[in-house]
Amino acid sequence: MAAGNDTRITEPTAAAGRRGVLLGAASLLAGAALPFRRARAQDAKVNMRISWWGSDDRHQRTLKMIKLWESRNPGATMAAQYGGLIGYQDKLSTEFAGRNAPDVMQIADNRESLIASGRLMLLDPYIASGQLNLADANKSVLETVKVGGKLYSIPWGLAGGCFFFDTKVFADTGVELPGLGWNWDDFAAAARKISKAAPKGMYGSADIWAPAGTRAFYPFEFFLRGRGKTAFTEAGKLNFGANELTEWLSFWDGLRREGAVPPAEVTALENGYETSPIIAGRSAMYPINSSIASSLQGLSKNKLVVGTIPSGLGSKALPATQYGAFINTSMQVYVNAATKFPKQSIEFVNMITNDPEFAKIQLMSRGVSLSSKMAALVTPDIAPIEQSMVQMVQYVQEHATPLYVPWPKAGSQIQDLMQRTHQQVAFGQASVAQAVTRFIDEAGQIME
Amino acid sequence: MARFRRPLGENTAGYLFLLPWFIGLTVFLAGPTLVSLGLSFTDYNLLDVPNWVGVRNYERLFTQDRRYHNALMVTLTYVMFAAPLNLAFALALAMALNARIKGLGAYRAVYYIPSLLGGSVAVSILWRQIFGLGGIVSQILGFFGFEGSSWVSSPSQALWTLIILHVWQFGSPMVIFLAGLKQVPAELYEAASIDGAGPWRQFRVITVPMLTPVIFFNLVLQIINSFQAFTPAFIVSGGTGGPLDSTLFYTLYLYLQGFGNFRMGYAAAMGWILLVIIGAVTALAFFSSRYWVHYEDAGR
Repeated sequence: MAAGNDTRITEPTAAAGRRGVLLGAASLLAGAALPFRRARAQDAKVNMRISWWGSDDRHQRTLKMIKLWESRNPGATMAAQYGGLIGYQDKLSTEFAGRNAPDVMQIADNRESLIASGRLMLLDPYIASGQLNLADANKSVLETVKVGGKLYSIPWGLAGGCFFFDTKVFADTGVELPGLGWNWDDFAAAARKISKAAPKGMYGSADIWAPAGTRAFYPFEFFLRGRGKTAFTEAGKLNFGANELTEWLSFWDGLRREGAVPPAEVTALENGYETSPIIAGRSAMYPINSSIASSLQGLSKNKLVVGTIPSGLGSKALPATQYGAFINTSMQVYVNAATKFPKQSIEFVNMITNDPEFAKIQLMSRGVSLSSKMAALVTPDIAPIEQSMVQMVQYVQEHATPLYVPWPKAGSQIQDLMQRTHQQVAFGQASVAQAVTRFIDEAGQIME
Repeated sequence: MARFRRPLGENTAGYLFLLPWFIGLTVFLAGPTLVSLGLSFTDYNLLDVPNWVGVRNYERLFTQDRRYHNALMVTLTYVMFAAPLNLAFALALAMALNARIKGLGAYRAVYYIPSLLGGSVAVSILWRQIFGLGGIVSQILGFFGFEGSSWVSSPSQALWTLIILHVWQFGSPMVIFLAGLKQVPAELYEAASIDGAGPWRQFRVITVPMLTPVIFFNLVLQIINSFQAFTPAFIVSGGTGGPLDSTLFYTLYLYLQGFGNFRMGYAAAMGWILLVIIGAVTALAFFSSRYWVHYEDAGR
């Protein structure tokens, strides 16, 4: 009886003991994440994050700038997040959605959406308080990066749409290098001559829908501005019609048929400017943003030169009444509205703009310095390609008209649509007239 | 009352051990899946509070979006060719590697390597080179007198380079086929050869019927895999689905809409339609399997 009793008592107790161990182990597993939380909460020091895209040259220089910043701010760290352009914006957008975006960053696409939902810091108060000094910055360029009259970004470097020229191909074919004031007729003539004089497989110019290059929209925007029109209205609708689009597409369709620019299959080979026709030895001219000047030169054996995007002034093919290009810089720096370190972020942006040591490190890896003082400071140190870039930027600044309406939220999608429209014509899938109809139709859907 | 306490206590420990997995399932799988169903009826843009738009996303997909219809066609074409070709290739190699030759293990390992590499970014970049202008394919074709052209940048051929890339990744179905071949009783072949059946006939009447369960299994996996293909198109086309949307896979278009254009509600709707399509095609495969898949024990 006693033994029986014993077993009755001990058995559940032993089981309870085992259960206790089990429960303990399980709750230990479940609670394993707790210590990490505590460590994070204690962390009050400055640990920031910055993100940008670009080539290796730009990466190395930016990393050096970060090191310099860290050495001036003992105990503070700035983690770098960088890579190529492809996929850059997708990652950044996801981080914004997860409320985990970097403190300071470049933005490639869709800045309009981010501003509309209040994700980017308004910079005007910091300019007013003097924490961000734009005294030496070009005022007209600052106007063009404003949205709704407010400043959410400043250009990290001044750059704009340009044409690169391969001087060796020009020399070999006996064609004169274009001047900064050239028009679309001059462009077409030069491209035709080079295609004719050069060996088979070499064309005068890359096509305007060069996949990584222009993404095919801003040259059209320049063309519209030449006629006194912006691409979009203030209300965010298209500000151009079938007529202008037809002229534009026909001009390029003609050049393609003549062989002045490569056929679609060759253009489609481009997968980043590293594989662009001017680097692959297939064209003498290449349209893209000038901010990549030193990187592009680094990829070519031949001497490259930066030129302007032709204007419509005096052109018969694409006539215009005024100068159309402007400094449409893509290299802008933004601050996350949700940053925990607004003071340090603004400080960093200010150093990018005004600090002589920063200027000496970055040179013109993102274009010409926004501050004219810094630009003058580094000019003796820069490569010939960058000197021609400075000249291009100066020329465009001198000639640009103040006309400007910021892109609507769907601007980036219209840009992609423009590239597909060029492709449809180039691959012979649609006539110019059909492509125009489709463009207007799809743009309506996108901007609905 | 006391009698119930003990099983409850035992179960609690069990559930606690299951908890990490269960949290994972709800938080990372079931939860997001359900949320995405809800989001597919909104205009969610990743940044702002979503607004209910009813079935507008679906309506737009079915009636307006030409790129979507194109993406659907591209994907169906891809599945229709990539999955069966991949299986045929895998079966052929499994047959070859089922022979009794020296160094068989090494051969099997070598033939499996593409599958380890196939989904990677590096191979997709390599593919661009191989099928690009001046790449090895155009050089070989040029040697035989064909005009050298670039497959990856031609709208009519770009998809085929991706199909070939998929076929090349025959490793896993091959291994499964090999296992299946080992299961076929040797006496069937012996009996057949005594009766005078040649290799082709043996293949047709013994190997294929005996393998049908394995073929079926591989087929279902391949169909689902190829519907979900993403990386090769993303890399080979530089993230655009070009040239001219000829490699714009369903998943790539979904990604571009969601993460490129911030139209996450729209992308969610696309995701759910894809789920229904894959479900329907798989169900069709299962339904058809009644007529062509033979299970050895079924007849007994």
